[in-house]
Amino acid sequence: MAGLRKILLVEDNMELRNLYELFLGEHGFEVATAVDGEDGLVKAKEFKPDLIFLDVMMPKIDGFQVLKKLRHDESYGATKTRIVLLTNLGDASKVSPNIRKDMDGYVVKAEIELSDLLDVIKSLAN
Amino acid sequence: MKIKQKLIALFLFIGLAPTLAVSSVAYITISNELQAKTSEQLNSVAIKQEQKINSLLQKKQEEVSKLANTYDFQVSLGNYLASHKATDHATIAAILQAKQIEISDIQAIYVADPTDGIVIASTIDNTEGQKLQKSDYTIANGNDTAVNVREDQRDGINKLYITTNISVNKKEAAVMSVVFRIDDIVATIQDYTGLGTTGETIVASKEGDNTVSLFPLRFDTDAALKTKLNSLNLTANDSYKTATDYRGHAVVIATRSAGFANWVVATKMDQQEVLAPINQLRNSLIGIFVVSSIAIILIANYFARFFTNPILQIARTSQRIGQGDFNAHSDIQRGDEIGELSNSVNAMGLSLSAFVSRIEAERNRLSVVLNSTAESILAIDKQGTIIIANQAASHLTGRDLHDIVDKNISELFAWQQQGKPFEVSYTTDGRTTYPDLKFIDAMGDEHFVKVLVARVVGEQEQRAAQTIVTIHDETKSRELEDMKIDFVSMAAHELRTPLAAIRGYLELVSFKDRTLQSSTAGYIRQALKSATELGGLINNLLDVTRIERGTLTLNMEKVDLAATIAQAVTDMQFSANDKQITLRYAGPNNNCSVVADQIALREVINNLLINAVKYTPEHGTITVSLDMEDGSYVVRVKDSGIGIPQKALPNLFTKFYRVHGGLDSGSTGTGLGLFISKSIMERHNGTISVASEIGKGSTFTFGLPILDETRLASVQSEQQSQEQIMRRHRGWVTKNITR
Repeated sequence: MAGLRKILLVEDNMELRNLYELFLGEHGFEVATAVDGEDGLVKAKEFKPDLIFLDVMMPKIDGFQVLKKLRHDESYGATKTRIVLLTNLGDASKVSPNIRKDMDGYVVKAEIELSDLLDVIKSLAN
Repeated sequence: MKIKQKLIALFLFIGLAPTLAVSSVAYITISNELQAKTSEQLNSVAIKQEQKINSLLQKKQEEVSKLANTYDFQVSLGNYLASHKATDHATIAAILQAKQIEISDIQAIYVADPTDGIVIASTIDNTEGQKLQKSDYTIANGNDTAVNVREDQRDGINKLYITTNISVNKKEAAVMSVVFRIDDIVATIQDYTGLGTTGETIVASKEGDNTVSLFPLRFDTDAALKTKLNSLNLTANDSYKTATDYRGHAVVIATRSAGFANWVVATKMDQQEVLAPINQLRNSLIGIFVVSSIAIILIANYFARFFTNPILQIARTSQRIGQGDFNAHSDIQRGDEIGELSNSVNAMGLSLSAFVSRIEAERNRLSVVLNSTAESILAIDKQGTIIIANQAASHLTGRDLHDIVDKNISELFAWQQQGKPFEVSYTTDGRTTYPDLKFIDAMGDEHFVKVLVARVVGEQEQRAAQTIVTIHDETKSRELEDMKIDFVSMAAHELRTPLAAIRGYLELVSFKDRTLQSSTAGYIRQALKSATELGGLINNLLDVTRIERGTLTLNMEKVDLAATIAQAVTDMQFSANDKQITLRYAGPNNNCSVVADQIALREVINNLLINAVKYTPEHGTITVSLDMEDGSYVVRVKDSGIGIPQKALPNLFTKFYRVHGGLDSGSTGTGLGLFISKSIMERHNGTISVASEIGKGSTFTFGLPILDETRLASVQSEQQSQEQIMRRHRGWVTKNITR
């Protein structure tokens, strides 16, 4: 997984956050977690991840807003960071063109197996 | 013609026809009589006049003749003729003057040479040697005398000129021309006409075609009158003829030839006077007719009223009954046919009243039914004008009923379907259903409706309902449906996150802990399998909500159908092997391109394969084939399963339908797979169908159009408008770009 070592996981569901942290950690990634959008922005600035898994439906600031800030506010240092949305909507073609432009992909949480996360990272690293 | 007029005509005919016939006969008879009598009278006057004139002239001729044969005159004339002495002139003149006194009415006497008319002697002084007018010395051959009537140029008075030959010694020696006053002749003619007030006698001389009037002579002095006299066309011996006289009056004339010269005596009367008695008779008859007619009309009228008044009363009663006043009653108390008619009409009114009450009761019942119906019902005619509407229609449109009836239906409803204006055709041969329509009522509220247009069956009049439009308001149920979809969607989403966690942990355990006992590993695999199934069910539910909301979006691209099927069959082998089912794919492994959403297409194939495996008993076979037919790729999934009952086939692709019924049946599934598959195929312009036989198995068939390059081009251009091409996988998507 050359190049993508540091992963920030922004997910408000504790079980899923812990699961993904555990799984990715076991596969040798350096994982930081954030529990909501605000937290995510702070962690992105501090942690400087190579890849962010960003949940969409979160309290306070949702994933779309976080994505927008990360991409367009250089102070977070994440304008070129790979960002993959975590969603349960399963239909990204519905999202606005700006979001489609800003994201690097999306994952429908209910439809993947854990190992798919590794494939996602692999496809973005190439 | 009304009875009254007919009766009057009949009475007039009976009353007047005989009288008219008798009167006509009498009139004609009397008219003929009168003519005969007039003719006789005119003739008799003419004869009398002629006789009198004749006798007067006869007398005067005799006097002239006597004078010419007087002895001393003959001697003197003889002397003169022998010697031509001038003294003889005087002698002759003296004799003549003496004779003139003896004969009354003589004005002058001339004796002249018969060859040149030179006067020999005269009672008028200084006339010897003058020349007489030719008519005064010319006597027609064979005649002794000539009679002329003309104006005397000396005094301008009409005179009678009688000329006679004088023979001396039996030799014609001279002519004597005697001039008479004619007062006595004129007096004779004028005194005695016997012809009433307009009667007149004319004595005329016929000279060739010319008629010269002798008495009265005015016709000869007035040129205009002279011409007009000719118009009487006096010919001898006409006993009765009609003509127009010189005054322009219609006259009747009788003529007689006088006994001498070419004289004609004509007696005439104005026709008006002749016809006076008959005209009087005619006027009397007309008077009698008028009086009789009036009397007859009055009598007939009375009789007619006797018949028509009650009939009219009955007619008015009928009319009032016709207008709905069933209490109308004609109180004619008569024992005859009219009385019977009246009673019948009264009875008819009563029965009609009862009948209409029944109809009204029936109509009220229908009206109650119509207005209690929840569906809006509108009956419209050919032009779309609303004839009948029920309360539900009033409620639906937000208008009063009287604001609906007689309006055109297109004024009331501006239909929309999926946000676009939509035309509903209100003419149909049978019945047409328009689902999923929307319109905005008078209050501005949206209604989602289903419209059913049905033709009215049976004979139809011009202004009759041709079409019944039934509108089923689905707004409420649609709102409920929306709420249900929202709820299902929300619930499914909420389920997904914990399910993802459960699956993830189970995977983690099964991957991480290789030291687990095999039984525990088996349990975990079972749990994982169930969780995966649960995820599939939730996905199906979400797909259905998207289909129903119309938000299912597909990413169309070029897909190799053969490769997709081959992969799906391979992936299903594991499940098939569990049941020792032989699952075969008999078809190419690539190069069958279609335009499709890869994931959706895979879902359709998976649904069919899962069903086939589920319903095929152990040791059965499932064969998947791929063929080209009529521009389409046709995929068949044929199993040797239990089959599907015939009556279930039509409902197989509807939502939540399950062949084997409710929860108590052994089979599993939501009844959504085939519904989703059908929806997906429709979105691909594809087809899906099933054939089945109980106990032998089922064949599911779906078809997709073979790759259409133009369609692919439009799909691709749409994809290229998105900035990046995404790499799609089940459950995740990434972009292949460098930031």
